[in-house]
Amino acid sequence: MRHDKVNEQEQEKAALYALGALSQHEARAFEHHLRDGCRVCEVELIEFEKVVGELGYASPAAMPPPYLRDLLTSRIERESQYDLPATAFPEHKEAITPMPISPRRSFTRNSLPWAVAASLAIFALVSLFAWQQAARDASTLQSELASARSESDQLRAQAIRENEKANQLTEIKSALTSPGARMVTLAGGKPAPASTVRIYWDVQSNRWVVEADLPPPPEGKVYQLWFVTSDAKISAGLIKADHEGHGFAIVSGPDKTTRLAAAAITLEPEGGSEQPTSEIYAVGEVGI
Amino acid sequence: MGSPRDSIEKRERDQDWIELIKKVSEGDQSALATLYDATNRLIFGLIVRILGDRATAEEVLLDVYTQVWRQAATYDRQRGAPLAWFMTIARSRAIDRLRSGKKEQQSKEPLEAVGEARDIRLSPEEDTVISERKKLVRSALDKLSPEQREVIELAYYSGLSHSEIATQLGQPLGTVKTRTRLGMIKLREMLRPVLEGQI
Repeated sequence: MRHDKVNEQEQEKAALYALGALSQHEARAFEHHLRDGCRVCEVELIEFEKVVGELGYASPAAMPPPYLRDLLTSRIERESQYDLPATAFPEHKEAITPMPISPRRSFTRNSLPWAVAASLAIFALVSLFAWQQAARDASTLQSELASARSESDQLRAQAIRENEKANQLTEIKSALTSPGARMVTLAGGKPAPASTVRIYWDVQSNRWVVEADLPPPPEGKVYQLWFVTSDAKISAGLIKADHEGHGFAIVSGPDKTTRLAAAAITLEPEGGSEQPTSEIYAVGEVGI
Repeated sequence: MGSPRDSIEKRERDQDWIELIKKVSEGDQSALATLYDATNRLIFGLIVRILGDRATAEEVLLDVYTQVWRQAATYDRQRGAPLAWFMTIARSRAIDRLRSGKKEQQSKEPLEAVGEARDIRLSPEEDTVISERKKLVRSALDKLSPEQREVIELAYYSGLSHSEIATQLGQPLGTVKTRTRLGMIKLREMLRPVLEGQI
């Protein structure tokens, strides 16, 4: 029911509604009454709402901590990222400067179909780009993975080599520090003049620690060490060299009854030979 | 009451703020910053007054200006001055927070106890116009009967409904309604020059 003039009851409702002090049920009923078009009550309410709007002035002012401004800045920045392009939040108390403004809600009914079409086109382009990028990324990743695997294999091989070298050095040191230790050097023969072979002789344990730098052996071939006496060549053992020709072996020393004149190395078929079949690759006097 | 010069200054300031709110609605962060600098102490004071707890008031203050940022386009100058809009948002957010289980932190201090004596100095931006308006509103409240003022303050700062106020004061519901109506009518008359933009 619309009113022609203000009555106390409706005025009371308007005052309480403006203060938010009506019960929920009463508030809904009053809103319904306003929607019915009671201009008198509407005017009354607007005036009371303005009064309520002024009451906050009665509160004492209070200083918020300065960091709140920074927090607000970052919050608005975050909101802007998802909402609208906006001008920057300025430093404290910067003068107001009119800036180019991008509208928050700029779509109109007329532009909507174009906007939808443009959105779809952009989406398609973005999807294509994303797919291509993903393919490129996958390819790059595969390449990087292969490279990493190769690098890893190389590192593993290097670690093995380093470990072997460390073990060899340990053996050499052990032989050299043994009581009465000796070292025999073999010089390169005609097929491999640059070769060098060192024999660290642990006399006490009668073992030879052999370190050789020879030409890399061909496939199916192996270096063989010989004890050379005045009338015989006795196999001392095989020396397996790696692809760089570096060989290392620990063999038993010559029997005490053997009158050793020299030590020599030849290139033999895999598994070794009963007697040397090739030219001498390295030889040195032992001189027992 | 303020001088004619104050009145002109106030209207100009209101117009400035309306322009700023418009810029905020268009996404201008610098406009929001200016509004914040100009009003934060007034708004924070109101929130602290309602909540009686500075830590919670800080959160609500951020929420208020975030809401201003989001809803600037909905501001209707016909429904109130820019600062009144800010204070309406602040009160609403603070009372929502009160009702969400923080009633125990509600300040019980009467308005006088937190009045002029503890008011901090306003910033230059807030100074002249707001100080003048604070005096006017306090003066109007002072002219109410203590009973009228009490019910209005309970409703405004505590968010209590008329029946809750009646229960809290031990008064009949009808008495609370009548005191509220009469108090609001008196305030409206005393503040009419302000509400009509004459001051």
